[in-house]
Amino acid sequence: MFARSPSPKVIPGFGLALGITLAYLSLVVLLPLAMIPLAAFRLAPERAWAVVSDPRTVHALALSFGTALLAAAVNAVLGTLLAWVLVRYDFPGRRLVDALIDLPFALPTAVAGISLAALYAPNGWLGRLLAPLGVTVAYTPLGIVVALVFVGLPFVVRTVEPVLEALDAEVEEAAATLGASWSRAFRRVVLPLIAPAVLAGFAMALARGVGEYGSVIFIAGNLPMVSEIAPLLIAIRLEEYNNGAAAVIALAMLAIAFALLLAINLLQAWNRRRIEA
Amino acid sequence: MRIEIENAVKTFERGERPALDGLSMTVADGELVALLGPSGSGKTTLLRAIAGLEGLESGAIRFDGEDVAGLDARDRNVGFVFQHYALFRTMTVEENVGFGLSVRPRATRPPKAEIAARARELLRLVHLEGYERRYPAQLSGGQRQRVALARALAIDPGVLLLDEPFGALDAQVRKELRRWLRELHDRTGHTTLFVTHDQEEALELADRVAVINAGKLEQIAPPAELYAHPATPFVCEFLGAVNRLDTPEGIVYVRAHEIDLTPPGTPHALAATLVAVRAAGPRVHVELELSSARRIEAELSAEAFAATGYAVGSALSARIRRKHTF
Amino acid sequence: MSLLSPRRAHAVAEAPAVRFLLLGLALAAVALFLLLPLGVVFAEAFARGWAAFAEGVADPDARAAIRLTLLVAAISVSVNLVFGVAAAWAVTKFDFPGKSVLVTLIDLPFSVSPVIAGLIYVLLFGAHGLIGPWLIAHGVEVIFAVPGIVLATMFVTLPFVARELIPTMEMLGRGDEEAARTLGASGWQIFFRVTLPNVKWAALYGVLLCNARAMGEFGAVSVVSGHLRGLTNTMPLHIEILYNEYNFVAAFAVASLLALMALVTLALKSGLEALGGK
Repeated sequence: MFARSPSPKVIPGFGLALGITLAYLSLVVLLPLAMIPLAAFRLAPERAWAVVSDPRTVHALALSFGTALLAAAVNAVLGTLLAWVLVRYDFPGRRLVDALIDLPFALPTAVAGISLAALYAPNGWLGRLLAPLGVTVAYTPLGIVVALVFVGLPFVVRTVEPVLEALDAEVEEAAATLGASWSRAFRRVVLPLIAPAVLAGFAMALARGVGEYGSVIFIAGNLPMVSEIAPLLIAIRLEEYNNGAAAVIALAMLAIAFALLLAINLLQAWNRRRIEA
Repeated sequence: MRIEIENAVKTFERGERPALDGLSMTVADGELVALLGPSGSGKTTLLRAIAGLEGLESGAIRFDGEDVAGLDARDRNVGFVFQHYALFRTMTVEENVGFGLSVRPRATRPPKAEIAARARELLRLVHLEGYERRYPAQLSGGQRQRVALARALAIDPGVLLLDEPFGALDAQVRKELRRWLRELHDRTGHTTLFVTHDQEEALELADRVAVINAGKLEQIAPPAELYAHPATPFVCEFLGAVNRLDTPEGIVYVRAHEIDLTPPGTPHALAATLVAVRAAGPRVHVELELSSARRIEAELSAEAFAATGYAVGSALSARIRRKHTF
Repeated sequence: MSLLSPRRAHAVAEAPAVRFLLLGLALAAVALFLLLPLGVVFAEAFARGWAAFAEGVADPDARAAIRLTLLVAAISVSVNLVFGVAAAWAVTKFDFPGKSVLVTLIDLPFSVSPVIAGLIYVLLFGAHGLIGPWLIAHGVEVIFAVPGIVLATMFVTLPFVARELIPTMEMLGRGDEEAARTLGASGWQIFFRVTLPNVKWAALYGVLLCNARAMGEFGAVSVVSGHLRGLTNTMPLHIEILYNEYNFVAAFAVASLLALMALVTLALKSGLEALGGK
């Protein structure tokens, strides 16, 4: 039905496969997702505005995006370091570390949440060490960042690793023969080549961090106007049967996230053009 | 089986040049025909259209006079050998060869033992006995090629179609397989079409060669005739090194090896200066500059060139033994 | 190979001191951010010994949560396996307009907050939702019931199998299927005898990740479940309740089961990667 020229579908099953795909995708994803704008726009504009401009909403959104950006930035550095070490060095336990990198993908967020909360609680293994230094992690925005660094850790490692593996040895050698020092060669030669992968990983960690819930709520303390994230506020509004407000906050979250990811994509496109030009 | 292609037209992307642009040709039963042309000429598209792997916009393909437009690739009973063989990597060689029989509907499917026996028989035919239990990844390129061929033959196809059958092999194996394919064809008698961009391969192997360019048939003829009487400038230029000369009587094509080097002043010859010599094993390529400053290439055997005694800078005559005009 | 030697020769090699520093930092980060949180789960689970651990796990509500989690994971993984195969088949074996949009849509659930994933089903099927009241009037409960949990889990785990299969099948091309077709195979014969054996490890890889996420999903499920003990509590939700009741040993005992599942997942995943040379 989509054929441009009367090309036979040589391999069978097009109708069935596309039918299942579209039907399932529509029923499970598209139709339900359409409920958000539907429910949000059912609210009178001034009521919707009241929800968005409520200081508690503004704070929750700022907190979610702020902590997610910060955590993604930490992950960009940490992830690049880990990828570098895993690709470049041979050390005992390398394969184990490599496998462990994906732990945040496999470990349920609630488990990570209570475990991080236990670690950083004032009487926890790490909280006890940090308390004398005047650093409080648990029940503060810092705790949220720690949780988001955990869940976003694998993204940058996994996007940068293949690029480093494929990095042309000749490019580096050329830099070396031109007399560049290691740090200079890294900055001028290696970094520009892995930058798109770092940015891609950053974007994924950011997207994940913005919406993260399970690993955050145990360590965050969830104080309104202090450490209450946007997803939690949505859940709270739902529990109050305020579906409209929940939908409005969700819509605001999706809109901001979309704008951020679009900006990152534009940056990537600009960077590509700059290199190819 | 006789194959007729009539006015075949196929365009992949709207607005682009058609891959097949009104191509017509007929292949006789039992014939071995080469589809020769530059890359992008539409020869592979034609082969895939015959197999039912591509559809036509217009035109017809007939097997023994019967239009196959409505027939699925599955029901055309063609043996197709893919350029990269497309062997099933998770099956043994024997399972690959037996696949076509093992997927037949229960009513016509031979018993397992019979399928295995048939597969072994075909593997013997392609000189691969003893390789039954191997996997494709454990075979060389030439061996894979022969497994692909045995697999295609297993369904007893009405026509055998081979897409660049020797394209992925190195020169030595290529030559060997070429001779062997000819022998196999003579033994089994399948109507066979193969695609190639290598003129030597086409001329050496085929009963007739179809030269295809820009989706059209330029000429189809036995190799000797194709060479002696090219029907179009394209065919002439595509087969071997050719000089294109602008003469008062129009454009003339002269093959490099149909030029003799003769002493200066030879009647009915062109005055020329020898400007470069390239020796390529037993053959020598000589570049000549004519009085018009136009350069042409002549080709002769190393012995013949040595006998002339000419060197770079020599003044001489170029006598054209044979020319082609269109 | 000597300790800390580069894995292959690099012209731009950092000084050994730098190398030790970088490796030290990396290992410290792994220990701090990955090992320690994992270790705490088991340490806390066994903080009061085996008996307390066993008590937490054997509790009837815990057992009901384990059963529900396994059920939800089994349903959503199998449904998403079928979907992933169908989507990969459509996307990689055929050309049609809008294909790239479709691929983007398949990945959509990954960029939606789990809470929003739960929210959309509440908006649709909840007591104040679009069709919820009608369904409830006809005796069909979706929200605060098992169907809602299954739906929310299906949503968040939808892309896993498809996104493993699509690149793998893209790379393998269509030649094998075309060859099988010219040899007379039917669609199902092509799928089961040619395609599936080619992609089984990629499919298994997707199933593995899909299952880990399905068993561990919290946000989406939390919104639609209603937290009815013994009825609509999955393991992660049960952990939350125990934790909020300060029943730490029981909470971590149940959590340690999920952590073990995560470790098994990682081990199998590494095995598959070694096998597939991925």
